[in-house]
Amino acid sequence: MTLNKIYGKLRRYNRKNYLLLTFCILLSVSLITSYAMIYFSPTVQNFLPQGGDSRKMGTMIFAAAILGCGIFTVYASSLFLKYKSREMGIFMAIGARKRQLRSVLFTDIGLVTASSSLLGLALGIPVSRGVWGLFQLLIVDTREMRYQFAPIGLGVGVAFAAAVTVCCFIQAVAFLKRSNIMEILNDHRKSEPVRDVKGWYGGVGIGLVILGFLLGYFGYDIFKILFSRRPPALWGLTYLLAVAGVYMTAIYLVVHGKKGRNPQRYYKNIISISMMRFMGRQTVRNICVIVLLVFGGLFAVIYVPGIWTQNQEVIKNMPVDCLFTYPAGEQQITEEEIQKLADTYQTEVKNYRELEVLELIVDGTEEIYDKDGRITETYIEREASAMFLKAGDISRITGSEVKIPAGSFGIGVKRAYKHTKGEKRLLLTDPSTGNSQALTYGGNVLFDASLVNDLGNIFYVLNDQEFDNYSSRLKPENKYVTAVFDVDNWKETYAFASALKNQIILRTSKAASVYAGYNNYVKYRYESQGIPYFMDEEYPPGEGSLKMDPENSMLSTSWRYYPQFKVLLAQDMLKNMSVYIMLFVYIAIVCLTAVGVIAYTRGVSIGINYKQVFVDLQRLGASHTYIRFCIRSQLRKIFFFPYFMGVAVSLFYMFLIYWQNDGIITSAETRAIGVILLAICLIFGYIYLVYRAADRKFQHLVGIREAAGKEE
Amino acid sequence: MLFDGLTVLENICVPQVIKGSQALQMENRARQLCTIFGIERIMEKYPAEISGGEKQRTAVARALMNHPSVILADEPTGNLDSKSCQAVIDAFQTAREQLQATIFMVTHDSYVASFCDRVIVLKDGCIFREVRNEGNRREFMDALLGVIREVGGESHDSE
Repeated sequence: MTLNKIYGKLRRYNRKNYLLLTFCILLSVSLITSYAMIYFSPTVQNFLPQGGDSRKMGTMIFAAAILGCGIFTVYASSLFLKYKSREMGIFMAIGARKRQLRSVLFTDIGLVTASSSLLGLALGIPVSRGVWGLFQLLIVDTREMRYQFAPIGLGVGVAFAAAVTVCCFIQAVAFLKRSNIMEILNDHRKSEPVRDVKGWYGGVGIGLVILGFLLGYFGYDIFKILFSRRPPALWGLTYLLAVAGVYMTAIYLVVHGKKGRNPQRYYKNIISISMMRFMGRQTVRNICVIVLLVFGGLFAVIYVPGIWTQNQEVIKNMPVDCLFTYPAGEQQITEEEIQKLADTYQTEVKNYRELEVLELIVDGTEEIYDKDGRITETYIEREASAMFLKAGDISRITGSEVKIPAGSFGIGVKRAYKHTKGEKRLLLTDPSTGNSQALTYGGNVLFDASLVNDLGNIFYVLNDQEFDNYSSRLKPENKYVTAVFDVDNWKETYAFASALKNQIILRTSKAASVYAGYNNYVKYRYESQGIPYFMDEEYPPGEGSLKMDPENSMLSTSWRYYPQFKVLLAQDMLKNMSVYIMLFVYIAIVCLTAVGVIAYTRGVSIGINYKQVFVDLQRLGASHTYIRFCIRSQLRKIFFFPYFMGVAVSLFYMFLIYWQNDGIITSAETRAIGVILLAICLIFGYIYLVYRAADRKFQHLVGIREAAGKEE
Repeated sequence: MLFDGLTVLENICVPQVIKGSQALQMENRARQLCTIFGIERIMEKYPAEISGGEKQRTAVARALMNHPSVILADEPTGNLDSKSCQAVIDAFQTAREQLQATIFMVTHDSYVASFCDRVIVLKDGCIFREVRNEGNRREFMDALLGVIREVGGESHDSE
């Protein structure tokens, strides 16, 4: 009989504890590895614009998922050591040396972490392939959705597994350093109580959440206005105020109980409040992690409906069925050729018109950042080029008369923004003569389509006579053509629209294969000072995402002149957004799986640790119904409190984003909120199912489930 | 065992909380019990802040919350120091005298047993002897010790 043999027997006896830790590490490592393999695959990396919002959001949510999975694994290992403490205490009491115990404990931790990490890493590869395949099967299968093995992703998984292993060993070392045998013996029964907190705690907590988000999200604007500089890199830490706020609110919700005006209610919940206070710190930590993961998961879910409803809004309001713009110098497809193509697909093209679009130079303010982060705003009389349409042309297309007085300009806006106000004055420069003219703001012009695929989507409208004057002077390189037409029953014209789009792409010259935010005059300004234009460097025309290939689905988001056909917008949206959808839906799955596991294990461990309390309650005369009420009231705090806190924080952050985009909540955003609320309900359904499973297990642990069965 | 997260008053209220009684009514009853058992000063304190004797008195007060006819107490003074032990005895006497409660107690402590009206001495699961308190506790305790000696003496003789 050796210590190792005794330990081996104890290991077999306590295998459930080992399995729990193994399962937690395996799950977290495989989830993180599979997600990292998808996220870092060349397919996805090429798709996400460098420095773009999507990449930032993806990285942020991924960081939250890593943190969440890391915390729940550390939590699982501390639970494991808690179970171990009794064994270790007895060994120490009967004279085992720490060196001996260290060797067996390290062997245990080493075996569990190594086996579960390796298995998790190995599982990560097929899981990522499987998830990818599922998306291909259910959503879209384009050339861009080709699965590519990502060694960096596997590297992230290995790094995560190593970090988890190191954390487990650090905990084991700290555990072995303790010398008070009685403390070690009772460790598995030790609780970390939290005292009742004052009534203001919850309010201050909520206030801190709001303040943290406001400071973090509007940090750039705050610093720009107050100090004319970028916020320091550490400014992002202001988000920690929100974390502190969540912690305070969680403590308040968990332990605050005051008789107040409703003592009856207070006494009804007194047992669960008392238990929650008794194990407060662990529960509060759990709640905070769940809030963080729910926030991550929901934030990922929120992203998709936003894009989808915006697209639906564009389709609904477009004044024409098809619109495409190209520089006037391009040899683009003609009306006759379009008619011919339409005949091939038995489609009828009607109301074909070509609108002349002028490119003039406008004044504006340019923000220049120096190396120290200072922002210098410089007003430039000739800042950038902008597109101008003729009031009469818009009247003819929309059917409602547009009046722009001479000496004024109108701003083309979509329905959602019709009440917004533009700048009061515009200094216009004619690129052919170099003469400038100041115009006054003549109101908004409703036009529910973008001339080009540009983030700003701004175009101006001129009075007919002034427009004609400029037109007569401008050279072809300062002009564009916007072709608009309708088709019979647009929903049935996918094949024709697709063929026409392909034709347009194939006929586009390299000079016109430019990125969405490309601006000819800004390019001119930079190059005339001997500085290369940043757009040319970041998005070389005709290359990468701008390769003029009909199969290149990235053109829809990247290319400035991507045609806007209702049927393509309606049917290709999912296809073109497939990578985004996959990334965000998968990260939501990662976060929500972690939420389920954490809440379930916490619920069950309360059942294990506090079984005696329920036995005492039965001795004091509590019926099974009352015990069940107490159990469910505990579980509700673990499952539903953090879920709804996470929902509230996510919705608040979403409103911030929607508001910051354009200062209003558009009808598309309102509908996106509707879809998100539906998603929130569905996720609640999932949380509820896990809650029911934990409830059944809990009742089984305290022995009232069997009793109920016997009663029946 | 008291609930650590509840104050003394709330702990005493628990049996009626379980029954769903009216808050005001149960609070009045709990306060009354606190006064009877001399723990009104610590009503708002948590179990971690009070002594062992106070904990036991609280537990007895809690047991009396639902006006029971009989209190079953299994080794109520086990593991207690003499001061706390006296507190429990005092609490039971108060319960008997002021609240007319019957206390049915299992104990190995002859000193504690000497405060009872009747003692049934068990040996190996069978009744060995019944002893009644005739009014003088000291004499009653001597009688009990005699019976206990008989129980232990027999087994000693057989060795």
